[in-house]
Amino acid sequence: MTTPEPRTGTTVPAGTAPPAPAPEPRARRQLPTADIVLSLVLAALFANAFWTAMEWSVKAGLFPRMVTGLGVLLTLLHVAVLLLKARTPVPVVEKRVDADDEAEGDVEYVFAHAGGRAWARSLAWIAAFFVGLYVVGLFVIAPLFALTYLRFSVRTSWVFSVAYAAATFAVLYLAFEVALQLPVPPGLFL
Amino acid sequence: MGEALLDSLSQVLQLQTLGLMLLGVAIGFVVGILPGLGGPVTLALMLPFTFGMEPVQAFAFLLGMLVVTSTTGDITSVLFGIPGEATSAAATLDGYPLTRRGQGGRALGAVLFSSALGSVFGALVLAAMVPVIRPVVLALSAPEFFMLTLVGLTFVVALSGKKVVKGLIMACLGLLVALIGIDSQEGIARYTMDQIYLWDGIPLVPLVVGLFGGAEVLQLMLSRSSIAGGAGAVPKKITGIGEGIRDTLRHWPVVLRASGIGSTIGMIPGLGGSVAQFIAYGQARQSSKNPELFGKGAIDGVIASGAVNNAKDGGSLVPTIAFGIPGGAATAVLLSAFLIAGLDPGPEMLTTELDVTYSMVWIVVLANFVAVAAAFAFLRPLTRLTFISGPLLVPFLLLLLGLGAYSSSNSFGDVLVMLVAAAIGVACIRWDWPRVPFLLAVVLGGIAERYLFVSYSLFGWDWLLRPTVIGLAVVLLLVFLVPTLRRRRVQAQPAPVAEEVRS
Amino acid sequence: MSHRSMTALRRTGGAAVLVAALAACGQNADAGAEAGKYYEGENLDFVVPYDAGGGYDVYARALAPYLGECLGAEVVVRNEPGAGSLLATNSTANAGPDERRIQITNSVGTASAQIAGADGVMFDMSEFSIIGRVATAPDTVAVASDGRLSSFQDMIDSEETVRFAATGPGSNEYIAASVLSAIYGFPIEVVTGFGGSGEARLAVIAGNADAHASTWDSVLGPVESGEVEAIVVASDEPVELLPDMPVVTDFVPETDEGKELLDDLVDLETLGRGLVAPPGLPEERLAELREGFECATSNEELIAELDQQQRPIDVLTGDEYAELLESVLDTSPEFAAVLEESF
Repeated sequence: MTTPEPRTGTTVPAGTAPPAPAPEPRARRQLPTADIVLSLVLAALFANAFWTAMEWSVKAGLFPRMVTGLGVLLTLLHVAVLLLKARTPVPVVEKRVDADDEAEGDVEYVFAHAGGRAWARSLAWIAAFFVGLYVVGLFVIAPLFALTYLRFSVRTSWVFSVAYAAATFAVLYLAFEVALQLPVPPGLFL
Repeated sequence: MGEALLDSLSQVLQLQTLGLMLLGVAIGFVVGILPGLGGPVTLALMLPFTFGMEPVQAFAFLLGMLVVTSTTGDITSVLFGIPGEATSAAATLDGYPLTRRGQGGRALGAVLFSSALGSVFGALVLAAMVPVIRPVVLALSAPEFFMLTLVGLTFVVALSGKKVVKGLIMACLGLLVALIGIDSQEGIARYTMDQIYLWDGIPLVPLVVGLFGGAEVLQLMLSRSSIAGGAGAVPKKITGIGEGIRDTLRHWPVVLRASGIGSTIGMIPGLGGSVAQFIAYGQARQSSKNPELFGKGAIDGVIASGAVNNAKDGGSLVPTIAFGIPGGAATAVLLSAFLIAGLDPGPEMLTTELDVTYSMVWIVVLANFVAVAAAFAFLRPLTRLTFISGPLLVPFLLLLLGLGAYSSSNSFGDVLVMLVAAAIGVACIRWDWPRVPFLLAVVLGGIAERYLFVSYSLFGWDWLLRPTVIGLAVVLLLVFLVPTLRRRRVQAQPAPVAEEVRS
Repeated sequence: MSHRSMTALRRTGGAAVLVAALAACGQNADAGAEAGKYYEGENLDFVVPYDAGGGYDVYARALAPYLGECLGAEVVVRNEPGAGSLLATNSTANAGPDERRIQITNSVGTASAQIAGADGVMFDMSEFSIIGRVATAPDTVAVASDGRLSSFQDMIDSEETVRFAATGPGSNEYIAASVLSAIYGFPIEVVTGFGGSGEARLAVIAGNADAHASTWDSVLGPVESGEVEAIVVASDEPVELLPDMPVVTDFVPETDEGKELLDDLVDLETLGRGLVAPPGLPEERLAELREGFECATSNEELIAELDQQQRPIDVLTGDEYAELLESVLDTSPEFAAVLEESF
């Protein structure tokens, strides 16, 4: 990965970036922005669903109204609690808990500290795989993805990548087409 | 009864029958490991091969296959964090964290051994139920099922840990997702966004695979380390399998309780394993000495999810045998096998065909033991996979995700559901919202609504006065009260340790 | 990702797609031109609009290998569940005539939905390329063996509301119950919300509901084991495996309107389980499929195999079935109005 990345200016090597600066300063408790935003989004979703449910008859609408109404209440309550908590000073215990909470290599840790580039790249590979699955079907995309991902992202040798891809295709074909005759995503052209 | 039991054992132990069972076990083994490709579809594929078989042979083949899928489904869950079956989601919760710490062998040992014990328990329940099957099943009706779904929903609190409000919100979201589809009362399409695909509701298998598996694959892509990356260097020998077995024996009350929950819920048509696993898991968390470890690699959580999975198989055979009412999709296919074999499920199965019924008991036990023994043989190479470079596994795991989702109803819509669920799962982990209450609510929400309406239509408000309903209401209260009381007791003594653990 | 690798990626991808597409085209051309048979040597998708394990699935999986033999094709059964069979039926209606796809249909259900103008119907049953009928599946009313109703006459005379158990509106069991009530004028309540036919039947056995309507083959087991009694079948001829069960035409409705509705119901119920291909199939391809179907369904082994599963076949040829379908779809407005009540 030698070319400069247009998205961010950082020159972090591939993989997990060192801890991002944002969550580091813990001297003062910050507003849990993510939680508040998520709660508000969910509140909007519940409210919208509640509105939709009002059009239905009593029988069909009873449960939806109960669930979505409760959802709106809980999300708003959550936001209120978060805002109140943010105004009170932080007890010392909580900080310690947070610190030893995320062992390096934990899923939470990886998600919180992976750089923007790593995220963009991983999501692009995943998107490529599933778009390919839809467009060209399983038997084409599976070996193709294995080959390209291993060669250009993991940087394994050509020999290994080709062998991996060939094995993938062989196993898939034998298992799903020959042995079980189970349907697999066919792609748009077949 | 004893004679019939022995008689049926000798039938199962015949060479040809055993051979067919081993074949079934081998197929079920592979199918269980692959996510999405589940028991029902495979059973339907294999059904035509049972023409001309004796009843016991046909069941040795089919039932052997079916019970093994839920055992080996746990292997994928523990090793890769992708549920091998919809019923193996709970096994990912603690099994996968253990694997990441390099204790995959121990987790697998525990989950497999508890599976074997659970299957024995379920089979015992089935055998013991024979004299009372019919009155018991007939006594249970929609009101009891509704109360059970409520008991299940109360575990949302236990499964949220200390993030109770977040857990409740996620449960509400799950209930909302469960409402998607045509409603059963008036045929109104609710929240279907004009997609006929959504009329039957959100399919469970893609949801489970995405919610739990998606985040784990993304994590491997991001971190570029091996699954057991936190464990340091690759060990020369994979150890810990024996330790897992010892853990299971030490936690025998967990095994017992989880098995009891599994076989009871398995008996109820429509609930089944996807519900039972979380109730057993939640129960294990509540009664555990260190509940704060749950979700971070608690061995008793792994044991509970292993035991419940296989105990439910014995239970789910109860309504099928006694009334020809399948407890789930898999037993529905099994029902066709009854007809092919020339058997009519019903009273005959408990009288003249009793030996066939008992042979099923034996098959459940034997097949599980064979599978677990075989799995132990494969454990070392499998566990080694978790020490190789993570990105090398990515193409393979993405494939499992895609195929696992697609094969649930052969529609690309399933893949989309899986991707959305994966996004939810990733968001949950990133911002620390609990995933499990969401899934539990999705599974229980639709059932709760249906049974509430059926209860009211059938009995008016009188259903509230049924003795079994009142009994279940007491259970409900206990589920709520016992942990609260226990917490009180803990708080009564000054215990700063409890405050230190993570929320 | 560097520029070079990106290009390489694209090139490889493009090449693979191209190769795959070429291969696909090549196959089509060969088979079509040489043998003059469209399906020979090809994969033919046999779509079941429900999950694995139900009656439609059993028929399809039994039929598939014989159909494959007769057509010289590889017939692959494919479950496409969703929206109570509407999803797959819509897909078949939208499939082009070049798609090698056939589907087993719940014709009673889909025709009712079409007549009632229900939501989600994006097909016209008469436009499908009709291959034939596999089996009949007339609905049967079952009651508990020791329940308060012991015959269909009891039900007709009932002053009290008769409670039918069903999964939900629009299901075959719902339709059968409400049409019967309209014909004979007995009061009913359909209790919906059961998770499946089995659960609904269990409620009847336990005495919590009075009756349950379902296809006769699915009620056969419980009848033979003495759990329930089948009191009437919505057909004008008795069912071979349940010879003691009265047919609905034995009970004459009181009103003329009822009589007409009864005829319409009996016609509708004879539709049973059909086999169709996408609309607009060229004549020779449809002829090939129909020939293959007749060849397969006259195979003694298949008949024996299905008999053993207590799922006998009852074949109508393509022409006969198309005619029947046409006449059922062209129904009276009164019957359509009754059906609409069930959705």
